Amino acid sequence: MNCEEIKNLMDAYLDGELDPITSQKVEQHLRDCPKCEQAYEVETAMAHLISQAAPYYKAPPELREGIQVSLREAIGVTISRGAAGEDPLPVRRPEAVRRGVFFDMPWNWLALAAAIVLAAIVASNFLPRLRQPGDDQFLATQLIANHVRSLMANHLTDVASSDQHTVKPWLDVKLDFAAPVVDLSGGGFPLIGGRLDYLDNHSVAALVYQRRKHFINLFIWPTTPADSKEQNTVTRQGYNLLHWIEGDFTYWAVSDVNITELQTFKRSFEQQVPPH
Amino acid sequence: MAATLEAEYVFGTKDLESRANVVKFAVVQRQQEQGAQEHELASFEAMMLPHLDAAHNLARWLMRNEQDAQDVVQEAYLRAFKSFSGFHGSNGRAWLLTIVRNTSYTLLKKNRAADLTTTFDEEIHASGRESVSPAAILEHAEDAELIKNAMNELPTEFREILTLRHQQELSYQEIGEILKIPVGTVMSRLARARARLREYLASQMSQEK
Repeated sequence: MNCEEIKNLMDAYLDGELDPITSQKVEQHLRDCPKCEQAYEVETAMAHLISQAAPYYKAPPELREGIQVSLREAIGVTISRGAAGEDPLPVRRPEAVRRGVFFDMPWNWLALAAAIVLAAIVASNFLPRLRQPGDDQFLATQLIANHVRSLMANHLTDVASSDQHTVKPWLDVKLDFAAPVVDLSGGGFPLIGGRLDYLDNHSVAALVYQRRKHFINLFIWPTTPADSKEQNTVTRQGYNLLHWIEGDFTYWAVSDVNITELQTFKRSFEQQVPPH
Repeated sequence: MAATLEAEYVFGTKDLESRANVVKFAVVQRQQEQGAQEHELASFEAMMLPHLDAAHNLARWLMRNEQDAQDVVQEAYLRAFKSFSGFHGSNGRAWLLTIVRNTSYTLLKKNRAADLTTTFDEEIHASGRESVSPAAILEHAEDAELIKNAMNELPTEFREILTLRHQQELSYQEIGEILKIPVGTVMSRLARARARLREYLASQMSQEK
């Protein structure tokens, strides 16, 4: 791909709208071409700026009430106003708008999540003998299952803290290795906390970061000979996984944010961790 | 205004059968009718009121004025309720935002035809060129006023696509459905919108110095 083509694809790449193959080509080009890399950083900064700094105008409460009243008038429900403290809206109010990941999930998302967990359970019972060829695929399934479970079971963190100096000692005591823990608020990925998790027959550290309304689980364990040495990305059932090795540790980041954002996440993580 | 709205939205079922239904509906006992309507209203509110903030935010950016935005949203919810029986999709938010957008444009066309035809003044705003660094942009990450003014300077079609993408976090597909344009056009328009905004910011930043 030449720079002109990259320029045309850059916005879609940034928005995570390219197919994985094209996306990989763009990524490759950005690694090799400082000029395009620079342009891409400007684009990323712009996107960040618009989503962070542009005001989001929430609806004032009186607008909600006004709408509810006018809808009732439209179907001829009479509304008795006046009596102090009484509910002005006789038809039952819709449930209050609750914010948060657990309540925003549509039912089919939950069904999908349940299916993934079920698939993981089935897979863990029947697949161990067949593991050679699809090791990474199998691991990916486990990783997604752990990610989903962490969001569903109200067990996102064991130690909830945005302070790396609280999370790290907690994990160090529980594990037989000292995982690097850094807060990435500066890069737009605040640390939410840490969790002890279990993957592939051993205990691993799970750090939880937030990206706007999304969560990123970063699984860390000491690299073993069985672990893939190459950096790679996996996309499955709407989840993106990014794997890399740095120093003695193997990292897997799992989230529903797009691959480009995960790459950004990885870069800011690496910038914060002291090199070996 | 109400007459044009109905023409646009309440057609859904114009075949003979549904006309028969309409007639039938009128002769059913009034009480039964009321009960059914309340039931419909309850499910409409449960599905659409959670998107009130999204609807208001879009209208606010399109109208650039709080009072107009509220009028638009109120009107849009009424329109949406009237055609709710014809809605069978799963993406309630995109459907509602489409109606909010159409309602906004109706009002914009009526009140301020000039707004929709305003062309961006390239002479003034292109002065900053492209010479702006990521660091310089991020320095302004806290400057809501600057971004707000910059966004408000953009033509309507750029403002709406930026808010749909960056504030509502909709996919190209969803944006294409709302704006009734192909996904390829979403991509290029979004790129142009960001470029315009960048040029504008660059010119603002160079004036500061």
